Formats: sequence, structure tokens, C-alpha cells
Amino acid sequence: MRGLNKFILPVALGLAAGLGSCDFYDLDAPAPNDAVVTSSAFTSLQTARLARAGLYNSLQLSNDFDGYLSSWQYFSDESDWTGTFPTREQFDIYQVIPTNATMAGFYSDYYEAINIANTLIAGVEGIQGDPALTEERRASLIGEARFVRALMYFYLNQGWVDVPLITTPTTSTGPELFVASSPSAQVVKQIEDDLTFAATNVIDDETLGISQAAALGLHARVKFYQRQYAEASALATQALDAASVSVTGNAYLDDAIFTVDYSSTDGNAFAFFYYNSARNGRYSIRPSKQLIAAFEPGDRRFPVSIDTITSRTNPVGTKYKDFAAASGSQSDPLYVLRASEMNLIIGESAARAGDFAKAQTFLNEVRTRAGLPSRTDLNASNFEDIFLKEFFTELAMEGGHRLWNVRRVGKAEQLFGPDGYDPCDDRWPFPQRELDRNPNLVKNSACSS
Amino acid sequence: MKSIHYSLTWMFAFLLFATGAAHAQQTNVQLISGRVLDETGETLIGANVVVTGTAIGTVTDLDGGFTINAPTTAQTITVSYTGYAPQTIAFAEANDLTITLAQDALGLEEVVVTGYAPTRRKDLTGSVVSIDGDLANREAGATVQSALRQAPGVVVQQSSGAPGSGMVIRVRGATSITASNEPLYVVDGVPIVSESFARTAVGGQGSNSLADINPNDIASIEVLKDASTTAIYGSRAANGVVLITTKRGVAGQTKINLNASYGINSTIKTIDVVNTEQYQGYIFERYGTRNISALDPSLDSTVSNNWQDLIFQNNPIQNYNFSVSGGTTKNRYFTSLNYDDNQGVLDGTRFRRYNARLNLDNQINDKLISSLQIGYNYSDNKILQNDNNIYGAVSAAILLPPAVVIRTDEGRYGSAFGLENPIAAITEYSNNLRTNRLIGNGSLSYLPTQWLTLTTRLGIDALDLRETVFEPSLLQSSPAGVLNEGSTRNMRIVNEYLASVSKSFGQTNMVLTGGAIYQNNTRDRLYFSKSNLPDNTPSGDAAATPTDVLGDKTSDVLQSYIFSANFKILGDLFVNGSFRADGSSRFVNDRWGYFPGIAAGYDFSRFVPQVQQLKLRASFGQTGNNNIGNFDSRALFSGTRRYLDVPGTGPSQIGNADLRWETTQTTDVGIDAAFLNNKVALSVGYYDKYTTDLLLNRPLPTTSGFNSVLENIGEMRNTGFEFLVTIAPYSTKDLTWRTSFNGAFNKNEVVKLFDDQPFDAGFANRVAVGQPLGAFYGWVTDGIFQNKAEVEAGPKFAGLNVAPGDFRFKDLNGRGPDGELTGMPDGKLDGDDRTFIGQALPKFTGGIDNLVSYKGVSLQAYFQFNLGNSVYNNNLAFAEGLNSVFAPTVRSYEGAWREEGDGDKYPRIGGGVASTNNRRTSDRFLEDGSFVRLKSAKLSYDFASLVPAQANVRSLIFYVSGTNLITWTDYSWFDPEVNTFGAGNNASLGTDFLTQPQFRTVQAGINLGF
Repeated sequence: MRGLNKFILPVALGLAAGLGSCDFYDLDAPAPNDAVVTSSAFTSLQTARLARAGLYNSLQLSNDFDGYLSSWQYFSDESDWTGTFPTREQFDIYQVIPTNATMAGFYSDYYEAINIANTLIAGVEGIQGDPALTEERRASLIGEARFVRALMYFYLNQGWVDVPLITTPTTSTGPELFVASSPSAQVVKQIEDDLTFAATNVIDDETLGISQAAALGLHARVKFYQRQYAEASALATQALDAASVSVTGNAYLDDAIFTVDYSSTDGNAFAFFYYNSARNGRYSIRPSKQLIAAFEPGDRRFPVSIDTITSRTNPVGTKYKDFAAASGSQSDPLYVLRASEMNLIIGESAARAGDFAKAQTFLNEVRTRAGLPSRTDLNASNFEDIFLKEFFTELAMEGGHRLWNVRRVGKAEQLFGPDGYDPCDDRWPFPQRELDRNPNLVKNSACSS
Repeated sequence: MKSIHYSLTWMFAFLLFATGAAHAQQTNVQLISGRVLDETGETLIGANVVVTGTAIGTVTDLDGGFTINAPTTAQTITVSYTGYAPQTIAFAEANDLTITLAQDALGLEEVVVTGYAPTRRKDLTGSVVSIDGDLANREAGATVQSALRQAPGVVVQQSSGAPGSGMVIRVRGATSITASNEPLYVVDGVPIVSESFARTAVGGQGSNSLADINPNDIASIEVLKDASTTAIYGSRAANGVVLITTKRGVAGQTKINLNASYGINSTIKTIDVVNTEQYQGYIFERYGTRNISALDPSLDSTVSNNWQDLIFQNNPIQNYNFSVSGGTTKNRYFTSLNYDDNQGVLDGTRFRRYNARLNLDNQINDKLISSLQIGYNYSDNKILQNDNNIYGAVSAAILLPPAVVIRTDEGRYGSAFGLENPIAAITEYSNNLRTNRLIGNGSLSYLPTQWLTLTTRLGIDALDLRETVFEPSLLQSSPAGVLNEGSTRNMRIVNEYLASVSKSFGQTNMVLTGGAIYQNNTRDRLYFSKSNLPDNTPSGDAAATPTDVLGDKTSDVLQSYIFSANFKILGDLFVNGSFRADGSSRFVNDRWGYFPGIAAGYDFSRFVPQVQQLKLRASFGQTGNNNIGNFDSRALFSGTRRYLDVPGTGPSQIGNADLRWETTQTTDVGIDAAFLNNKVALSVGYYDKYTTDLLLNRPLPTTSGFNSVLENIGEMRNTGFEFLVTIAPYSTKDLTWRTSFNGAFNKNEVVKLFDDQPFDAGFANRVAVGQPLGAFYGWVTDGIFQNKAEVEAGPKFAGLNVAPGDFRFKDLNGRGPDGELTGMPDGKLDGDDRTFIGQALPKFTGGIDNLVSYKGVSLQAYFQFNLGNSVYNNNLAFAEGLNSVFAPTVRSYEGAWREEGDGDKYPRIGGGVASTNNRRTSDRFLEDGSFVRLKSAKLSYDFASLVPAQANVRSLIFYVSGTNLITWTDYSWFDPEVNTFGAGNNASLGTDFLTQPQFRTVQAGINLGF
């Protein structure tokens, strides 16, 4: 024991000194295992594709029910508010105020997806030295991102008209983030540029859903809402040519050109909000009387869209029907773009150009599939209402088609006015928190700004 | 694990080294003997006698006598006995010493554990509160946190009444907005984890990992409040440090203690909600129909259930604790077993806890001391959904109309409007949080000379949480059944190497301590959620559809170096200094933080007659707060952004490599006094805590794709005044009377935010410069419009067509032509007219504690008060919104405005404009949260004197005790002590939304000691 003594001290000191360098107590050792530092996110085709899946993930907005469906539908004669959230009620009564947290939520969701798209565009442009990443593939990935960006700006433009236009990724946190809003025309031009790029560069077989047809179709819709009907019709025709689906070849709802998809592990709560408590739903939204009245007798789309059998006084929207799964695990797709919308765009554009025969052809494809008699009576004085009705029923509860189309034909005040829609309701006010955070953003001309 | 091996090797090497060194010592001994008596001349049995500065000692026998073999170099011995002032006696000559110990009713002579150098209470220069172990356990369902109520300057707010739920603890106010504001908890030297680990969200109540500690095992709790005492804990000490010391064996006779108690929990209050007849009337007024089943087919006008009566029960609470302790002066032990079972007042809640403890102190030889403290816990916390949740039992019991059947003819639970059936919520839903936890500490000290101690310690906090949530398909929330299983393992290992020098020069003492501390904390989690359970079988492999799967791992490392110096100069001047350097893996560019603390005190008592203590003390120091996420400083691209089954990544955090610690600078001055023969003690103190580099989520325009970035931006100040007065007029064998009154005023103020931009939190909180954290912000009501003329007169919100019966709000502010706020009315209402309407944290808190005992009868009562805070009662927005299908309260339904002259309290019944206008965030829903409460009381009688002496019974105490016995408050909902958003939220405080209330408990028990 005594002999050992003189060795123990140096050994002990040595161990103590060595301790600081060992991994267990190394300050540099801890690292996240479910994330990488941003600087190493884009290095190869494989990493670009991971980011691409993240891009699609961003399309499943955190507030997808509000951002894609309910807010637009409440804010029209498509659906009524039946829930308990007063911020949603404000949409229904056309009294959206800047502090509306629901609105702030999905406004931010759109921009989150835009930043993810911008990040992917810049990241993919910067990848060097991976032979698998051909220039075609690079352009295709960028095309997917530009499609997502365009889609988000489309919603922003419909909701707020003039909005901050941001096309570069956020990498710093200084005053450069205080972006003022751009005029609507500039926003639309960016949307169109992005869609034109996507329509020529996306390689359909390599994407997670976005296609050239989707880009063309969305572009057609944008032109249509700009009332540039000839261009809209041309793009819609191209979209149908490029698409693998059609009104004549596919059943109702099976003709989607682009959907945001969900699964049980990556689900939504659409059915939860549409269904009533008998089917474990929250029943926050109800198809309106106007929507129900718009369906002609015998319309096969009606039982798919609305259930009035269980309760006539409380009809239930049934397009999202995975109510058996729990809220948040429901897998109904979000229909972003369907072939029938292209048909109606081509049809109405033809009617506007005086070609009622063509208008009837495209309209009747949609009607025939719905089990309705063909119309042969289209003329200059009735076509607008006929198409407006067909958009209403065909695309019921799939987004904001009703609001957008009624605004397009300038009848918002006439149709929604009795329920409170004023001219200043052509846009929503900017969320108060954005005004608070961004000194360059000024109140817009919405009613309650 | 390689490195752990290194550490253990190091410990082992140290042991060998020390043992070897010890063997090398020569020992010449001298024999010392004597007797220990109290002031009345009675012998003190079991008093501790040690050779000063060594581990050599003994305890007095039945005659109070002792004999000790002391080294020839020894000059003094120290004699101590609980409740008496210890004495140090020189024994140059005497061989038959008679030592008389004086009583210490106020505990001034007790040794207080502070950081790495224990100090006599009398010698403290910092601000330290001690809570005696006996008092830590007086509330029913006590936890470490509930015991802290007794400490002045510590605000304790229970988030929810659920047994085992989380609590908000604020030591001298909040210092942070983003990082945790909870103090650092240290159990027997091990800094433990204290956050909630449960993944399944059930509302704000959270789980409480501090509920794992058995209060019966606690010898004392010390709350370190000022920076001179906390600086030694460095980067985790800005919110104070709570030191928990568990019981140790005392040499002498073996002590066996058995405590058993049983009691009943009952609700304090229920809320009057409409019955079906009233509900029909309400629906008629709201929707124009009495046919309630038109609203929801599940409503049946022939049914009327009082849901609260159906879910609240008088449930049992019980506790059994058994301990054995004792030993010799060389080997002492304390062991205990404990069982707690608290079933709350809701049938579906239950908190069960099993504890075992083994504490050993061994003197291996004259130079070597080892000690081991191991506390093991298994707890099973059964919780319910609640708080801000439509599936919660209490939520549904309030809001679900009475006209819903309990069960339908098909056997399903009745439900409407998506709300859960309250009976289903308490009987069908099950969520068990099962925790296995071991907190242990082994140490070895080597004392090569009388003045040097070398210590190595290995501390472990190993926590394993298993959560199992089963929601059968009978529930609204899970049409196909849901099973969630989660496992969280948190392993914290702390190595400490300490050297301490203790020297006396005449009347001057000096203690120097230095050391190195390494800590690794690693947490891994596994979690899955699956639905579609066949036949409601709660089995993971049987469930058909996975809905959420998670597995991750995270860790952080803290390297620290400490130094402290304590001087006691000429007996009455005290100077203490400490320093800690902390390096944390959580930061990138700025990793090391340095935390100094200094304090001085002078006891003037020898200049003032009749005064036993008159100490002025002052301290200054800096502490930090690194309680943020492990990787918050880095720009991250998260791997969790998958799309369907395709793995995906995406930007998840903008990051900030320049993040540093939050630094809190504290100045503390105080006076500690004792007079009237140590019968009155007074301690008053003032502090100023200034926090800079506040880690703040600076809100970003969300057009950036990010919501915020964490930066060192903010500044916050807490100033406060605390006092503690204790009087102990009688402390004789037969009669003891002790009363203490403590109170604290804290003023919290946010001094700086990013660009001084305010931001909102929770339902009604706003963080703004000049305001305290937890301030409430909203419009101010100005009565109800009684007629059309008043409506015309306004003021009104643009575009909102209010009608008579709607609330009128005050026009408080407007904007000038330059767009700047004028502070003057502008004739219209808008967001500018909102103002600060209250604050969540109380202005004045404290308590009054009473203990009177006479010949075995003892009465204790603790009154708690909490004054000057508001509660944002968001329940009212729903249960008194008068706008929707939810069942309203009776008072709001009956009091609703119906015609001119109907008062200003409740508006008209209506949706749309009425809903938007009347339910906006305003003082309508803000209530005074002040309360005074008889928190606990206990009446006991000790029958020991009636038991024959041969039975050897030390104590035989029967008692009855109560918790939350009486509450005086104006608050209209269940309970003013509530915090829906839970302990993890710093800014959204003081909100009540569908939260389980606290309850009253009455218990009876027996305490048997041999």
C-alpha cells in the first residue's frame, strides 16, 4: 500500500486532466440527431430531394383547414359558421379584424411555405459536384418550388391583394425582413413567371405530385381571375392536354390535377371540422342554403358533397369523409386543381368570346358526368350565371372557388352584400402582428383595418 | 460510457490514494470525557460530540456522558444537539467536562446548507430561507414546491388542482421571458431535472417531476435568493436555488418511525350552470327555437344532468411512511419507505408514489469519510384531459348542455357540439405517467490534515418516464380508439472534485473551497401513437393505423470551475466571496460565462445591550440563466418535415450563433436581528435584480417564414422587499408557542424589448416595456348600451353595428395626423383603445404560521395570502359568452340584458355582432385574484406520556389535519390559484380556462415512534 502511494497522485492527476477531453463531458459533442445545421442542408441531389419533400410538407399548412377551406367559404355564401371560435365567425359575418388570430395563422403559413420554396431554389442552385444532379433535374426541382411559391402567392393575392413579395430565402434577421407590400400586378407577374418556369421545367415523372399540367392549370386560373380569358382558355387547354386525367375519363373528384395529400401519420382534421358530433366531428362549418339550392335535382355530386338525410336543418359537408380517423389523422386529400375547373374555364372563356357551341361542349362534359341534362340554351345574357352556378356546385367546398369567381364577375356585393359584404371586403386587413413587427407594412384598405 | 469509466477510475484512484495516505498516518491519542446538560440541568441523551474539524466523535449516553479518543493535536470539541445552540469547547486541561447547551428556539445556531460551504444561520451574509423538514410535509399531497409557500419572496402557484400537477415557482419574481423561470433544485448536492417530460398534451397542467421527491424524507429545504449565495451555481441560478437536504441517521439509539394518514378530498365549490329548462329558454332567446334537438340531435329536452355533481367525488387520500435510522458515530444510516395515494376529486385522477431511501454516512478511518444518499421513486400519475380542451372533464362539465344523456340507447356516450361527455372523460380516458427515478449521490472525503478536505462526488439523476394514453372509441376524441405509448429517459451524471481548506486564526475563521464540476445530461425518447384498435384493446401491436412515431435524442454538457472563500473575522465580521465559470454546449460563439458573488455582514450585537443579533448584511453578484433548448443557438434544417412516407427536411430555426447567457445582477441588503433573549427574530431585506441579455424570441415578420429568432435583447428588473418576523415567547418542555409572519413585495418590470415592441401571449397577456411580465391587456368596458340613443352616442368600432344590450367600451386613445398615439379619445374604438388592465403576479404575498403546543397537544395553522393580482377568467367568455350553444351559467342567463335598465353586468344574448363585441378581450373577464387562505391546519396529541415506559414508545401522536380549509376571495370561478397555461409559460400567466380546481382535504393520522 505504501509503495503504491507515490504513483497514485500522478495517476489521479493525470485522469483528472484527461477528463476534460473525453467525449462524455466534451462541450462540442452534443449535436441534434433530428436536424442538420442549415449550412450543410444542400450538398447533393439526395439532400435536395429531402428538402423537396419538406416543400410538399409545407403545403400541408399548419392551419390548413382555415387557410385552404373554411375562411374562404365562410367569407362567401358557400358555407356558414357553426362552430365556437369567434375568429372564424368573423369571416362568416364579413367582419375580419386585424387581430384575428386565425387569419394571422394562415397568412404566416403561406409565407412559411414561400420561404421554404425560396430556400430550396437558392439551395439547389448552389449545389456543385453531384453528377446525379443534372441541369434538367436541377430545373425540375426549382420548378416544383416555384409552383409552390406561385400557389401560395395566389392565395395571398386573393386574400390581401397587395402583399409583400419575397423571392429570396431568409438567412438573416435584420431590417431587410421589413418588406413593404407590392402592388397586386407585380405579385401576379411573379406568380405567372414562376408558373411559366414550372410548366416548362418540371419533369413529371420525378416529382411528388406537381406536374407541368398543374403549373399550366394554375396559370390558367390566374389568367382567368385576371379576366384575360383568351390566355386562360389557351393555358387550360394545354393543361388538359398535359394532364393524365379528364372530366370524361374520370369519375367526379377522381380528375384531380394536383392535390395536397395526407395520410394517417401525416393527417389533417378536415372531416373533424365538417362532420357533426354524431360522427365525432366538431361541426365548425355547414354548407349554406345557397349552396344546397344551387344543386339541380338529380345532381350526382350532391350526395357526395352534402348529407341532408341525417339532418335537414343541419346539413353536413361530406367531401372530406375520413371521420373514422381521429382529428389530425384524417387522410382526405385537399383538391387544389381538378380537370373540371379547366373545362369550366375553357367553356366560360369561349362563351365570353361568343363561341357558345364550344362553351356548351365543355360545360356539358361536366354536367353529363354529374348526371344532369346537357344545356343547349347558352347565350350572351345567361352564360355568366350558368357558369357561376356550375363552378359553385362542381367545386363546392374545395377551396375559395365561390368567393373568387363571384368577385371575378363583380357580383360580390350583390350576392353577399345582404349578409354584410362591403366593397372594402375585397381584401382582408393585414394581421395586426405583422403591422406591429414590420414598420414598412402599412394598413391596407380593408374594411376593419 | 468510456468516459464514465474514466470518472469512476478517477474516484477509485482517489480512494486508494486517500486510503494509502491514511494508513501512513501515525496516531497518538488522548482521552476526553464529560457530560452534556441543558439549561435546567437535565441530561441530553444523544448529543453529538466531535473533535472540531475532524470526523472523530461520539454521542452522549443515557446519562449524557461521553468519552472520546482525540488526537493529541486536537484542542477543541464541538457539541451539538437539535434545537440547541452548538458549542465549541477548549479542553486543554479538563478531563471531566460539563457542557451546558442553551436552547435555540429560533434556529439561529442551526447549520444552513448553502452551496459548497455550510454556514451557521447566524453567520449568513446572503439571503437564505430555511424550511424545516417537518413543515415541508404539512399540506395534503405535499411536494417540494408546495413547501416553498412558507418562504418569503417565493411565489407558488399551482397550475391546476390535478394531483401531481405542475406549479409555478418564482423566487423574487421572474427574470426571464423565454428561458425557464423556475429555480434550480439541488437534492443532496445533485442538481436535478425539474421540467415536465410528458409528451401527450392534456392541457396546461403538465406533469411535475418534482412530485417524485418524498417530502417525508426532507430534513430541510434552503432557498438561496441573493447572488452571493447563488453565484456558486452560476449559469442556472438566476431564479434562485432550492437546496433539498434529506434526513441522515443520528448516532445513538435506533429510531423507528411510522406515520399513517387517511383523508378525504372534496370540492371547495361548484359553478351554477343552467338546467335543461333554463337551457331551452336560453336557446330560444339565442336561436329563436325551443326545439333544442334541432341544434344537435343529441339534445333531449327530457334530460337534465348536473355534470359537475356527476364528475366530482369525495375521494380518498392516504400516506404511509416508515423509517428506521440510527447507527454509531462511525456508521450512521437513515432508511425509509413511503407510499402516497391521492385520488383528487375527479374519479379519473390519481397520483400514487412509492419511495425508498437509503442514506449512509461512514467514517472509514480518521481521515476518510464516505457518504451515500440514494432516493428511489416510482410514481404513477393518472391524469385527465383538461385545461383549454374541449375533451376535458371539467371543460365538458361546464359547457356541455344539461340536456345530453349520459348514455344513448346504443350504448354510446351522449355528446353534443363536439364536446366530450364528462362521464366518459373521467371513466373511459386513461393517461398514466409512470416514472422510475433514482436520485443518488456518493461521495468520498479525505481529510489529510485538520484543515484540508478533498472530496470527490458522483451524482446521478436517472429518470425514466413511461406514458400510456388510451382513448377507447367511446370517446369523442377517438372514433376508432387511440393508444399512445411514450418512453422518455433522462440521465444526468455529475462529477465533482472539490478541495476545501478550513483554518482558524484566533477568533478568525476562513474556509476556502475550489473545485471542478462536469455534468452531462442526455435524454432519449420513443413515442408512438396508433389508432384503430380492435375491440378497444389497448395494444400497440394490435392497433391498425400508426398516426405518430417519434424517436430522438438530445444532450447537453456543462463544465464548471468553482471557487469560494468565507471569512469570519473576529467573530462578528463576515466576508464571503464566490466565483463560478460555466461552459455550456448550448452556446456556439460565446460559451463561457463567469459568475462572481460577494457579500459582507457585520453583527453589531455586542455593542447593543439586550440584543442577541443585529447583523447588517449586503451582497452583490451575478448569476445566469441557460435554461433554453439544447440547440436553440444553431440555424437548423429539421429532418422532421416528411411528406406522407417520403422523408423531408426544411428550415426550422433561423438560429443565432451569438447567443449568450442571460445575466442577472443582484444587489441585496438586509438586517437580521434577534432580541428579547432570542425570543423574537426579525429579518428584513431589500433586493434589486437586474437582468440583461434577456434571451428573447424577437418576433419576426412572419413573411420571413419564421415566427421569431432568439436573441439577447431584453432587460428586466425585479425589486422587492421581504420580511420575516418570528416570535417564540414560550419554548419550554410543556409549552411552545411560535408564530411567524412572512411577506414579500415584488415589483417586476420589463425594461427593454426588441425595439420596445410589445407582444401578446396567451389569451390576454401582453409583454411590454414598463409593465410586469404577465400584464393583462385589453379594452375597458364602460357599461352596457341601454338604448338606441346611447348606441348612437357611441363610441363604436367601425363596421360593427352594436345594439342596445351590447357592451360599451372606453375610447381611451387615438392617433394624430402623424399617425402617432395621442393618448386622447378620438371618437372611435379600435385596437388603440386597449390598455393594461391588470397583472397576473401578485404584488404582496406571504403567510402567517402558528404553532402552539401544550403538554402533548399541538395546534398548527398556516395562513397564506396572495394580494394584488388579477385572473383572466376565460371561462366566462364561453360559459357567460351568451353567444353560442354552450350551456351558460345561471347568473349570466338570468342576468342577461333584455331591456333598458337591465344593468351593466351581462350583455344581451346573441351571436354575430354581439359575440364579436361582447366577448372581446377586456376587463369584463378580468377578476381580482387576491385571496387569503387557511392553507393548512393540524391538531395533534401525543399519547407517549400515557404509554408505560417499558414499551419504549418515543411518540404516539394522533392528529387531524386539513388543507385548503377556508379561502377568502372575490374570485367567482372555482379557485383563484390557477394557471391554465402551466409552469412552462412565462408570459401567459394568470389565466383560468377550464382548469381542474384545487380541492379541500381533511385527514386523520397517527405517528408512532420507537
